[in-house]
Amino acid sequence: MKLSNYQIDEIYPFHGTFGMPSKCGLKIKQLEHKTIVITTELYQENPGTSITSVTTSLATQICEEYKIPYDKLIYLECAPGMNSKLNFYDEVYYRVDFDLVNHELQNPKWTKITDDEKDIYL
Amino acid sequence: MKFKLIYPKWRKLEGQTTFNLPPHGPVVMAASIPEHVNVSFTDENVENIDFDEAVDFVGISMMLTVQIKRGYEIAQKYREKGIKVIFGGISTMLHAEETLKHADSIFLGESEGRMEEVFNDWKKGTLKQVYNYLHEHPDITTIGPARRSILNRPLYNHKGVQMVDLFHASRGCRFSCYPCAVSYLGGRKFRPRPIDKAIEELESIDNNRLFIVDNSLAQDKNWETDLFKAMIPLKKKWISHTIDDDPKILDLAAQAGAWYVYQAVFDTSDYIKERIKRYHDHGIGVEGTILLGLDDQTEDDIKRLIDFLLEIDLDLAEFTVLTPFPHTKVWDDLLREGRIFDRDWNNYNAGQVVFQPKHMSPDRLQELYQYAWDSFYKEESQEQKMFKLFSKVVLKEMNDGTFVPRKRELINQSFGKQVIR
Repeated sequence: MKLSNYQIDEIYPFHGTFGMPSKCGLKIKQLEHKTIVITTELYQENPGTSITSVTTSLATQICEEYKIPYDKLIYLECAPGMNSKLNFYDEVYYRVDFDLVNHELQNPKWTKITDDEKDIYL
Repeated sequence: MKFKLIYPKWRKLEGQTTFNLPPHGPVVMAASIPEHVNVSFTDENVENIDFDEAVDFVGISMMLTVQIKRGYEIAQKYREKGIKVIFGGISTMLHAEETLKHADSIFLGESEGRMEEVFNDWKKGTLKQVYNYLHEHPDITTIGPARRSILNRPLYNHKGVQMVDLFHASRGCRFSCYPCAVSYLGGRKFRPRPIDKAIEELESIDNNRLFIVDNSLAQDKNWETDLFKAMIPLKKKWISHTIDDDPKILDLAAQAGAWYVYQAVFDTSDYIKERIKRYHDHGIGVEGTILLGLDDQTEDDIKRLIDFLLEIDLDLAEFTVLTPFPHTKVWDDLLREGRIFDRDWNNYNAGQVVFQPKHMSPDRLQELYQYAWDSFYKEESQEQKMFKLFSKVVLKEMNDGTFVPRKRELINQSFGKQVIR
């Protein structure tokens, strides 16, 4: 059994659009000055809203629950591979950067990360 | 009290044959409205709304994203008169936050067992802003026949030929396909209706030709087998989406009246070619549904795909461009990559490119979309191919004694408008 490098490695229930009960994979890794949060889409196992539909709200829910200061947050989204020959089902990671406006996360911007960058974060 | 239920119009795709089918969402919803409520229905695609009609409460039912802006306009007219407006339907669910800004109330989810609450709240003046049943699906065994009596039947005729009626045998979907939102809307579990309930509704429909609108019937072989066996005595003729690729099930489907199916054609493989052939071997026609603009398609791939369609003897083909509807994986992917450049919902008609394709410009994809339609229907027009498919169903009906001649009194009308034969 491989031990997880993460302080948190769980299925995380969250409130989706209009409070719709939803689930994602959640990993949290605490570094010295930053906290890496990785949310993973669960597709069929997620009964509600996708992680990308509610990125800002989900990041806020996680930060509040795990007491993560917004300015220490490195937030990643993972769309896992779906075992398909079609390339739009390949695994892909994005770093999401937010503007911090009036102490709130806003305006998510996604950047696809390379395998090398992924190794740094994961 | 009088409840006005409205289905907004939308701009149809240019160059394509338009058929206005009786809508399904409003008649399903209407079945759950309390009996004491007087329901007046207008499908704006076939008749104008009489804004002077005296009504107490308005419901706007929206299926397509291209309906929502018109839905907002209609709502505004009624709200200016002080009449409360509630929105529901698939597109209300997909665009809920935006729709709420144009509504007194929105209903999210399936309506069975919930309308008593809505109408009681309206009566008390305590209509809620949001009725959120997105995650609480009603017991599938309680879903009864749709209330088709609200339809103005003669309007769904083209030169005396009655259009197919829409019917559903299940809800939800266990697949999460790239461009589709059904699993978000109806849940990620397949919820088949009990066979006796489905048959009860089928028997009640005064139309021998149907479109079974379920996302895919190929989700539970035992149920699918039982459904087709039970449908055989009804002698209905029907269109549906995918059926299981199993000779026994295809045989039963044919006996149960399968007229033609919509089958996604996504590559040029022998599997697709043989699959189409197996439908044809069972006497079932095939309308290929072809999605253009996927990230794994280059210009050459699209041209090869079109050549392939001509080789495999499809009865009809319907081309669409990839469209990022909210709550689909394609929306998430294109949003993250900043590739959605057009947020005008009127352009989300699956015929207009609203995103940056991976291997070509949006304009080039738009050209290839037109090229696809033109190439496929070059030798034989869409109307000619449709007529051939129509002739097949007429032949089947004549053979089993279910053929109903066109209505002579409507022979000079097409969807409520006068036409010359």
